[in-house]
Amino acid sequence: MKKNKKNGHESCTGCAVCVLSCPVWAQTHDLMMTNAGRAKALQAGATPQDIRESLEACLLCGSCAPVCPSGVDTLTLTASLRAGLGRKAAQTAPKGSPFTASGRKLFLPGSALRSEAQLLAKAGSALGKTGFTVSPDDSLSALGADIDAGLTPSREAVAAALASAAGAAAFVAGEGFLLRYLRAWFPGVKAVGIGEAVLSAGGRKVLKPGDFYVVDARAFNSDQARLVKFYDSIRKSSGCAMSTTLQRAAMPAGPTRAQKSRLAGNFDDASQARWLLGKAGSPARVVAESAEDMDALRAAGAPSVIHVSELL
Amino acid sequence: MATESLRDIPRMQTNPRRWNGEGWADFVSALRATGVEVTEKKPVLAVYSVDSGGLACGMPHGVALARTSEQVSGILKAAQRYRVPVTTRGGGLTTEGETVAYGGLLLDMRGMSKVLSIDPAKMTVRTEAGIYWHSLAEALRREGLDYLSAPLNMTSSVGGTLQVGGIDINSPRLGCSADQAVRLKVVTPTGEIKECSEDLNPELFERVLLGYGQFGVITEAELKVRRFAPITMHYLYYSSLTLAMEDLKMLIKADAADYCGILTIMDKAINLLVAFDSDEREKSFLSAWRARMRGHGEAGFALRMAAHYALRPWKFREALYLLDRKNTMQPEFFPSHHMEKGKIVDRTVVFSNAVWKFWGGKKMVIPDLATSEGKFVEAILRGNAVCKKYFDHYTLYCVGIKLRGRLPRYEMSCVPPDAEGYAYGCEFEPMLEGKEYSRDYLQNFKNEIYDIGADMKTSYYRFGGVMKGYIRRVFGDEVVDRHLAMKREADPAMILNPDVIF
Repeated sequence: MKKNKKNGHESCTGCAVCVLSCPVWAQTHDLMMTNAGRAKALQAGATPQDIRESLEACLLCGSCAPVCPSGVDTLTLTASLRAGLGRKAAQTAPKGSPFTASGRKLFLPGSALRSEAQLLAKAGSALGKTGFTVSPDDSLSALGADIDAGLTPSREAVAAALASAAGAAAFVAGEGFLLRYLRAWFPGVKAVGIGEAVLSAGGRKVLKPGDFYVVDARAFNSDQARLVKFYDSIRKSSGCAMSTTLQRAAMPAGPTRAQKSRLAGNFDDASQARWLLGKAGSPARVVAESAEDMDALRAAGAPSVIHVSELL
Repeated sequence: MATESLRDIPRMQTNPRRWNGEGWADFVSALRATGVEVTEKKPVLAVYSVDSGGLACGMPHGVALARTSEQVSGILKAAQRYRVPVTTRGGGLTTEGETVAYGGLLLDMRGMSKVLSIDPAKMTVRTEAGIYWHSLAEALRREGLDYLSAPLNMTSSVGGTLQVGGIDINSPRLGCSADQAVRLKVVTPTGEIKECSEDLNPELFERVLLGYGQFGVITEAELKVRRFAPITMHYLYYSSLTLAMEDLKMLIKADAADYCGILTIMDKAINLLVAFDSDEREKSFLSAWRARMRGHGEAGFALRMAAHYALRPWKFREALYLLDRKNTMQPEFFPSHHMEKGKIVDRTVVFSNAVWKFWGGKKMVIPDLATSEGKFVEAILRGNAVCKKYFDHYTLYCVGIKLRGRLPRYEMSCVPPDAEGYAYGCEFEPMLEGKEYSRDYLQNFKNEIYDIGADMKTSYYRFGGVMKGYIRRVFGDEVVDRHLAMKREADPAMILNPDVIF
């Protein structure tokens, strides 16, 4: 079967290759909690409500997407089914001050980075050297959070969020989840994750053997075919270890903060982060792209955890 | 099964009695009283209704996830008491319905997927047996280690593989996966938890390995491991199946390659792949053996094929198919993100991705023949003729398997009774390519392949499930009755994996 287009659940053969990099599988070892289980259940006539627990548990990290031999668009499938669970529509509204994005290169930090002023300042400064401006408007990030949560934003909210960045020349996203949507909402406009942006701006020269570099799974998996080459070249030139799996997909260290509150303790992120750290042996330093992964990595006892923006 | 396909096949089943649902409610109540979660939700049951073959279909009454040996023990004890069938399933990569439950409890062994300990000094790993080989590889890699041999399919489970064999392209050197087992924890059909090895409870050890799930549930396995090494792969191209098979046998007997096997596009483009763990072994092959191999390099083979089809212009569609197949598939066997310095880093990931991408589907038909060395060429040529009769496009996949003498575990297994030193196997896989074939058509194809085995007194890798009508025909009454008596003694209510063999 050629992987030449993105398919729905009906194309799933049940091979379960997608399961191998799934963090929820790693926790539960329950097929029903994975994309493969959901797809087979849907093929058998299940409704989204029938598989509600499984849909709610997914971290939407996208590790299943690049490895599916049948080209099932796993992440879109899960996100749309989650939206079909019948939650109330979100009241996403533009957040931040009025701002003209046209012609600017925008850095969209996202809620996790915004909640850490020092880190945000460092990231803003690092990316500022390459011409990026921290967007004062959080609408797109809020829109992404709604999609992640299975909330259906109103048309007005979507229009307002897209208008907040209309005409932008390029994006750097602090939240990897947003990238695949930015690419869809703003076709032709380059959108990369903060890790790729910082490494390209000189961060790669500072990485060294003994470092364990934790990619933002949601950014990496959104463009895996290209990024696997980008990160491989950095791994080889720097001698650092990287967190990708044998399948060359990426797993997150844990849920995002918003997911964590929804999952209410049903995901042991410390064990997931420990598993990830186990790949590195005893790293001298852990460099994380995702501010939210940093939480889990620290909780798991990583010796020294810095954000990628601190490389510059 | 098509009536026509059963012509000349004795219809006597190995164990004709069927379960009718009696005792299910009491069984489930007993399990729930001990904290075992059994789901009876239809959407969940439906997920387990087929195996990878997609042709045998059955619904369990309930599904439970295996979590501990003690829990499995409790389930089997209750199953004996209430006479409820229990079907175990790992990756579910069977193709004849062996991991499909036709009623009763389906026990998903993947709930037991933890790696328990890695001992680099002893070069062994102890793992829960529901784990996928890929997940085991992921854990071993962190220690610079690898398993010895496992199916070229990432989602096979360790326990399931040990019960049927497990063939890799390094099996000609290292044997089948079952022969890598050092020690097992087994829950017997009556619920006893036992450790076994070649020294401890050896009879159980020999019955469970290659035992098709009849004599116990493997919950933990201690396996041999080795140092991890990326591999260098070479492809030799043949237009003659016979020459390729003869060269494969020559390579295997001479131990000239670390990995070898044949993969074909019909019988037109025959690819003998050879691979090496070290530069020394590769150099040794190139200097001592390459010139004796009758296969061509890619350029030489392309010229021969161009000449062949230039003289046969009416076969241009076949030529186009071969070219398209080669152009599409070849990059998948050398994906840049799985290569380091010209070597394939993760052979299983690369092969498995290719297998699922090019051969995978909701329906998979893969009859096979397992032969001794002397019968290998004839059996495969006869099987190839059957493939041609039924399908425009197909693939043959041939490997050798090193045997460890005449172990009891080999009796009534995929290892042919007359194999000495090595066994050989070939899978015959039609390319279904989205076309709709009736179940009867596919079954007739399988039967014609299996008839070759019955005629030549070979064996099969997949003789259970839907194909179990062949078991008496192939192994004979004496062997089957002896194993059936052992099964009845071990499993008085005949509840464990009842639709696989007996």
